[in-house]
Amino acid sequence: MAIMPGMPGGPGAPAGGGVALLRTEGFNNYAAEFSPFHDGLIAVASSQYFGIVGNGRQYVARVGPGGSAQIVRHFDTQDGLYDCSWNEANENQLASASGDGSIKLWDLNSTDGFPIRNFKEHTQECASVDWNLVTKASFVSASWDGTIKLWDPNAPMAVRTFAEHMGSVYNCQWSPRHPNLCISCSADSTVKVFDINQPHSATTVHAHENEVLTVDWNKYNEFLFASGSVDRTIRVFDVRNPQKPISVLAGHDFAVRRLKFSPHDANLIASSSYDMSVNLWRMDREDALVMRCQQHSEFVMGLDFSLFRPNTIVSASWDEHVCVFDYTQGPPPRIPPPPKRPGLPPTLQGGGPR
Amino acid sequence: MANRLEKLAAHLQVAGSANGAGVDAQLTSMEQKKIFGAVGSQSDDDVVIVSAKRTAIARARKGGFKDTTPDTLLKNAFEGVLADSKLDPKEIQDIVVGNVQMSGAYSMPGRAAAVLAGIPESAGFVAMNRQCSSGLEAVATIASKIKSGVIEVGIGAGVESMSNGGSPGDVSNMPPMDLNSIFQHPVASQALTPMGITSENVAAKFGITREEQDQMAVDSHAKALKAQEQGWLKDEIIPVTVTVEDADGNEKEVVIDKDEGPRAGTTMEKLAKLKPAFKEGGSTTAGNASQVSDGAAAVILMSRRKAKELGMPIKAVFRGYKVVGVPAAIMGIGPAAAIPACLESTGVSVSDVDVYEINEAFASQATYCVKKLGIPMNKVNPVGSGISLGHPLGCTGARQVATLLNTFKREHKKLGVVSMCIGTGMGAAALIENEQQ
Repeated sequence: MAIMPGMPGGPGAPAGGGVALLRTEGFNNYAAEFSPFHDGLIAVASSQYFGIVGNGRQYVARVGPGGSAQIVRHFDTQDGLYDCSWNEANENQLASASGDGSIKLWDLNSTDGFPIRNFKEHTQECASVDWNLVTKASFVSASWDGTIKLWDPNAPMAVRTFAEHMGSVYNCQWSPRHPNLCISCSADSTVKVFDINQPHSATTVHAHENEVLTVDWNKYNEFLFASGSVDRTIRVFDVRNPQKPISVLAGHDFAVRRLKFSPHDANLIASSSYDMSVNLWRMDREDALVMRCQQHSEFVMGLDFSLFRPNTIVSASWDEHVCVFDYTQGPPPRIPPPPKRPGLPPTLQGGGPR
Repeated sequence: MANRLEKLAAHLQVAGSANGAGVDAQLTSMEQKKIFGAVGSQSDDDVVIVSAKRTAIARARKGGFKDTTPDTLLKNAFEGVLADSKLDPKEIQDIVVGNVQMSGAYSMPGRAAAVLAGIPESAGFVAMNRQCSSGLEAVATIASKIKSGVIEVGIGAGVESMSNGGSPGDVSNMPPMDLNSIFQHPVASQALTPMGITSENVAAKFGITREEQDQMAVDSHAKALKAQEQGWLKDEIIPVTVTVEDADGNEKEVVIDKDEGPRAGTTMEKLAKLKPAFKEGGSTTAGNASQVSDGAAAVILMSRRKAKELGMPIKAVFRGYKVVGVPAAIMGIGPAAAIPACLESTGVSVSDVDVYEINEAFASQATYCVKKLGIPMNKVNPVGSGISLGHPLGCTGARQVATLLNTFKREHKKLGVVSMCIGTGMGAAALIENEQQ
């Protein structure tokens, strides 16, 4: 698809308008997040064997000028990793959400391979971790056990536990504006907004007809959020009037796994899906789907916008690749899929649509 | 691992998608295993419960329903759930009623009771008997019919009037059978083991002491009495107006709205004095076995699609059902076989379940099953069960569903299991997910 009019131009990363690729051999990627401190530094949470069995690995990689990309550090874990978040108060620290229910806090200055802290209270897989963007002093985690936990990184026990969802919680995200507001989404088809100082959720939105896998706040309008679901749609809601979505974005062929609002453009949403594509949407346009990127050959589980380079996105896939690209240069070319590994049962050779 | 694979499979289910055919076959089969849908998910094809109610359970031959016929109890149960849900009876397509002791499982008067309750004759009716699980089997049968698309709305119910039924071991109730062949067969002959003896067998084989059994009985009565004092059971009970005859033969009208089984002052000391009821030197007594009772219960089920269309309040989702055969001589172990089978088919672990309704047919077998599965006692029968509330055989399974939904609402729990042992050697277990906030 050609670049659509109205899409902002500007300096692109990686420099030279190219595409930077990172190969994570033997590890299938679940999440990627740009560092809020350093241009081009990326955290990638990944798992062996598609996160079904095996170990996990937290990568930290740097994308340099000219499309170069290299891994600068990695930390190994005994269970798969499903999400990660940088410490907003410390440029060297990041947290990983693990399949064993724990959240592991890592320090890039550490000399051994161990986490500096391990937070273990969730009784099932931890699916999401997100650092508070405003106070920068706490983070939240969400788990398949149905709970959301609020953590002080210096305290061993969770500060609060919210057990309101009726199913697994897949994602939780702090408001970029309010120090106490957090949003979550669940297998129970709902999205809930929490004020962490209140005993119960402030709002429950019956957002979809099926499991809701991802949610994010708009960075420019404090009342807007979007959610993505197994029902294949992205829905944009206003928390003041959440009975009906203000916009429904249909175009993915399978479940929407992750979505992010752009930090640079109030109307731009990027989403990734089990249909192996990354889509860009403008919610102010009737024909909202502006670009479909099909570089990956497996589920695309992780996605983030660069804070430093307005048109740059990172996508992380089960195809053992992380792709950093400037979308103003058009969809990136297809990445050759990794070779099948002999000796693995068909289930562990990938579950993607063929 | 299985759980992770199933989660991913659930993410790939896309109703009506042209691309769906390409999904990896193995993942698809994992998805299909959860026939009634994954716990925590919502789909229009879910089978949901919109109302579950029961009559009070009265003591057989002495209690409030001693002069009431089963059709009256059943009619009141139907009326109760119809009034509770405000469902237009015209929507009902089929009714399954469980009954154990009446001839032909009470099929003819049962149908009449449905008509008397205002259900039009266009609705089907079937009576069935799976012994003590009949009420649950009725609910599960309706759930299966809805899931398979045979019907959209149905009632699963159970009724038993043991005042009218003859005692469970009554030889005059025995249907004709080729006793020579049956007695000569080592497995088939076990099916004739009297229930009390099966309880003694379980206690002896698995070392369940008299003390443990009496303790379960004391706890059962205490829980039931507390529930009555707190008024917890009112929400699940349909008051029934009946005519009773007193000792002098005078008839009077009374409203029965309270379970008659729970006995205040049931202590270990008092129970210790009771003699074994079935076997010399045995441990099963009248105090630690279920009570002989009268009662009825009904459950309205429909597809979530239909519930939305009719604006029905969705109370719970039916998530799974398994019946597993066990040796008939120790039939009480049935729940210990059926519950794991049901949970495995639904991808849920024993500890994930918040409430267990495991019928106390005998304290011996209920204690064994709870210990065997490692279920914390505080999750089991929170308002008492067969020993304290009573066990009207064909009604019990549907009664447990009504009780479970009431517990869900009161305690804000998420997952519950309804289970019981079954004469002739089986166990049944159903998984139900709460949807009341």
